[in-house]
Amino acid sequence: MAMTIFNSKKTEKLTNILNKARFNFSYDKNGIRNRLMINTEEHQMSMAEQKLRELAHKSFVRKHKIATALCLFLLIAAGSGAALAEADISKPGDKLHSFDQLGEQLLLKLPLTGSQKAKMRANIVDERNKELDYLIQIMPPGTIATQAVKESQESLSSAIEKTTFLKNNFASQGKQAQADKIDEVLKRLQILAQEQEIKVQGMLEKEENRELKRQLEDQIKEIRSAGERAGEGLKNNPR
Amino acid sequence: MIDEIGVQRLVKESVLGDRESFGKIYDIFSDKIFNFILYRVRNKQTAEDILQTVFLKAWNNLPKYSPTNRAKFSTWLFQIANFTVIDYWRTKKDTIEIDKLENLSQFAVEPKLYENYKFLWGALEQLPSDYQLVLRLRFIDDLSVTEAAWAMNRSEVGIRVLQHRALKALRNILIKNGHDNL
Repeated sequence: MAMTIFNSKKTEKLTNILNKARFNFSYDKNGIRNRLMINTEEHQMSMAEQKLRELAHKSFVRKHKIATALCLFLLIAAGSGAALAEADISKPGDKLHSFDQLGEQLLLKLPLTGSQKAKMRANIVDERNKELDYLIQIMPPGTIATQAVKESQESLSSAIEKTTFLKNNFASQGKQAQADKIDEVLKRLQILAQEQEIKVQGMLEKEENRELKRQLEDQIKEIRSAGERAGEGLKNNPR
Repeated sequence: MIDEIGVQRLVKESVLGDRESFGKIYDIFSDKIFNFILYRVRNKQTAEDILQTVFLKAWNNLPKYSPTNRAKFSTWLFQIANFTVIDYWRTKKDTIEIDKLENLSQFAVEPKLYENYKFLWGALEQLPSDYQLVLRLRFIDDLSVTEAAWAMNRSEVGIRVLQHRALKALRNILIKNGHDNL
């Protein structure tokens, strides 16, 4: 029974009448139920399809990362750096480009020898240089291109730093044969640095935005500096 | 007759995708919700369409429904129904006319009994819509103050005040219409 805080006999009488005034009205109860069941089934199917699409996308991304990592690993292990370009299926600006980078990071975490990792890093730098070629040919100058240059320079600098460190390690442990093999990688990195500098110089000449020009100039300095460090690493033969 | 525990079990099964359980929820509550809607919109076809919309919205939003000690599952349905009717009126500019009220009696399951309360319907019609709604929810649909507050998106104090004013206004109209024995 409904009660109010302002209770009185008259109010109670009124609420009683309201309580009694409960009537059912006729309507197409079964027809509405049937239509409702159809609609809920359609909604369920639509939600299931959406879920499948999400899963398929996640699965595709996961498969793509793993596939890229595996391809690169197999190619490196087989010593074939040139085939690396075929394994890379995305370019800067593509949605999947960041997944390629993740794939590369995954590779570097694989249990490989120091020499194999050094070769892999050089291959990654080579790949980045090819991406710069693509950018120069296909895309207009701009933020994406500048960002790609920065990433390329960072890959180069990191590769040279880690490879030099590895060489010094081998040399200090008396492992001259391994140290000499690393020299081969350093020579390659030195050449890649020179190539990278030329490509970025070309981009700089096309770029009109002052801020982006400044950024490209900074990158060229870094690339040049990395190349010089590779040269010093080659000269340095601690015995 | 199913209790609230039984209803919540059906709700849980519906959330897991059991459409048949949801069908049972419809069977239990559709009469009450339809009566509520029909009284507000005064057109049978429209009320049926809105009823279907209400239950479809309930189905789509079941994952968001959270049981509470303060309100039954039916209260949630009333809330959806109330807001759906408000949305309907936002798109319509119809005014309620006396002859439409009289037409309503032809849909009553017990038309003669319904006619006995014609004096009450006439008086209720003259009240502002908020007054009609609170009296409907509290005394005809038997919602508690807490549940009515939820359905109308108001505070409990607000509901009590509104209810008091509505009853007073209803009594005054009934007296004015010659029903002073109330």
